[in-house]
This record gives sequence, structure tokens and C-alpha cells, in this order.
Amino acid sequence: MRTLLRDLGTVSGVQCACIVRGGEVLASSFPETEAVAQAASLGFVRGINDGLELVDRGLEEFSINFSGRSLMVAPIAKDFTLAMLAAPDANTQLLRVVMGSSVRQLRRMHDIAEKPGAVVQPKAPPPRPAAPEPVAAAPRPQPTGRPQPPPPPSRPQPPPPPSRPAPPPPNRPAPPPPLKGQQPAGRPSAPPPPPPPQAPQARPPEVKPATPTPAPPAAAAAKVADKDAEPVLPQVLALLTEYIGPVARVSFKRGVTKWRETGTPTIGTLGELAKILAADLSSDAEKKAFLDAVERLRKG
Amino acid sequence: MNKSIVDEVMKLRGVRGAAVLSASGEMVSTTVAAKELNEFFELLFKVASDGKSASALGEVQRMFVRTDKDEDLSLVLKNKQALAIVSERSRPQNELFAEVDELLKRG
Repeated sequence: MRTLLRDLGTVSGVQCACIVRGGEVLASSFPETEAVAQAASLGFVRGINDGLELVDRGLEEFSINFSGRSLMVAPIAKDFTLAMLAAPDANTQLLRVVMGSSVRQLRRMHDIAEKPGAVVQPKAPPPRPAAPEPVAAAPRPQPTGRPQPPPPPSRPQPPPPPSRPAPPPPNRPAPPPPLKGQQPAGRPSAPPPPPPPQAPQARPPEVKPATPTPAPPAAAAAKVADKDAEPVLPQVLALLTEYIGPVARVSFKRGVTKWRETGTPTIGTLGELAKILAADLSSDAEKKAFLDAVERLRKG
Repeated sequence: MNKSIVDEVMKLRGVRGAAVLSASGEMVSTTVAAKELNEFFELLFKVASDGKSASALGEVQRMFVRTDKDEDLSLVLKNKQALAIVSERSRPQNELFAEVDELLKRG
């Protein structure tokens, strides 16, 4: 991955780039002096991903133009993105093509089917037994320098994935078939493998929805809470919304997840959830008012 | 940026909806029917206005998000306000932004 980033850095207009999975930076070519810019970039990636999750949409790409430069982001899979900072005078069309190529390369390296559309997560989070420095040649920009339309799909079929170490999982997605135009939710249509028993809509890995019906993210998060706390959660969300508006749903979902991870989600520990959520409020007065209100809810 | 910009933007080819957000991030005027998209734009505005990020990377001028629902979502910021646009992905973003910039200059 480092090789890929290094090669990416040689493309005209690319300042630096990083590969992020689940909030963790796997590789980065951001120099020390750009650490703040990298953190800010990750903040944007996270904010936009959270927002899209709320509106039940997958990310295909996003870009932000700043007064100086641009941040360009492309998803490799869910919660797995390539982010790149481009110079003000960069040929962004060309860079989109280069990014597309890099993303495809990363997907091949990680055995990820093409076009995950940020919805399908073919591989579970556990890191693969580190592919041994396999990086192929980095993408090269078209020498013409002429702006190109979106990434051309004409690309030689990648070689079959390298032999894998351990016993292979029963159902492995086929190597990336031709791409563009495929619907994101679709699995690669090559060999119809015997579908395993209905894969869950893998969101947070540990969440196992009891019912198959997809729920909105906030509700889904709430659903996993302990039964006695569950009826109160929508009220907590409503309270939080009064303070920070629609963004509350993002904070709430994240907070409930954290609450579950750090303790037992019951009515008794609702205060813990309130503290987590209160961190997103801007003033101490608001925090106190919110904590008090949740406490009143807790007491019924 | 006043409300009439929404009507003007709606006349542009490929535009499905537009909205204006005030400096405080409130939706002032919108033709975007989907409530969740309006909320998304509010969130996007909040993300764009985050002081920490802005100081590190410069002031956000434009955000562009391509989703898997055959649509592009854009936010153009000017004078602390924002113009939100839902457009067809077949419409090249550069073209669209050029036309929007032109409208904003006039308006």
C-alpha cells in the first residue's frame, strides 16, 4: 500500500494521500507537517460517511474544494477509503481516473469485489494475514493530459488472486468482473455460488439484528440496547435533537454503539450514554441540562 | 444568496432539487422533496463549517458527493450561506458548477 501511495504521489497535482479503514490509517503519505490536514481530512470522511449512512446511501466518491486545494475521496469498500489531497491547479478529472485505478488495485489487493458501493462488505473486518508486499505497478496518468470522462472500464482482467494461506472461507467473491454500470447491491454475477444462510446487513460487526427488516441506523442501534432501556432511547434521541438538530442521529447512533461496547446498556447505565452524547454539545450549560433531562427520563 | 436562486438553479439541466441554507445552517428554502436529503445537506453544511477542519485545509468552497442512488449531491458555499443541489449524475459536475457559479455571481 505504501508503494501505491508513493507512486500516487508522483502523479502531477497529488500532494499526499492516505488509506483509511474503520477510522484507522493503514498507510499515509501525508508528511509530518500535514498531520493536522490529515486529521481534518479524516474528519470530513467520517462526517460524510455518517451522513450518507443516515440517508441510506452508499458513497461512490466525494470531493471538497477548499480555498487552496481539494480533498478527493473514493471508497474501496465500506469504511475503507482512499483519500487524497490535490493541489489547487490539479487536473481533477485526470486525478479521478487515477484514483479509480488505485481503488481497483486496492480492491484486488484486499480481495474485494468491484463496486461495493459502500453497501456490500464482502470481507469481514478481521485483517487479512498481511499480503506479502505484493503491490503491483502504480497507476500512471494518461500521457495526453487531456481531461477524460469517468474511469474507463477497459482493463485487462486481473490475474487470479494469489494462493491464500489458511483454509479458504466457503464463499469467496469472484475476482472483480467488469465493473461500471453494475448495481451496487449486486453480487458479482459470475459463478452463482451457493448462497450462505442469508448474510446479515453487516454494519457494526457485532450487531446481529434479530429481524431481517432493515431499520434506520438510529433505530438499529437502539434495537440492540437492553430491553428496559429501549423504550427510553427514542426520547433520548429527541432530546439530543433539540440541541444539535438532525446531526443528532449520527451522534446518537455512534454514542449507543460506544455505550454498548463499554458497558451493559440498561436503564441503569443510561447516564453513561448521556455522558457520551453530551460530549457533542457545545457548552457546559447545555451538557448539564441534557444530562439532567436524561436523568429525569431514567427515573421515569 | 436569496431564495430566488433556488428557482434559477432548478432551471439548469440535470438539477432535480435545490435548497438554500442560512449561515446558521437552517434550511431557508428548498425544492428537495426528500426530507432525509434536506437533513443530509444540513449535516454537510455542519461538516463544512467545522472550524478545526477549515483551519487545516482552508475554507470549504464546494462539496460534491456522488451516491449509489444515481444522484450527485453538492453544496456550494458563499458568504457563509450554502446552496444545496441534487442533480443527475449524468450531468458533468464541472459544467454544473460553472453554471451555478455564474448564477451566484449575478445574484
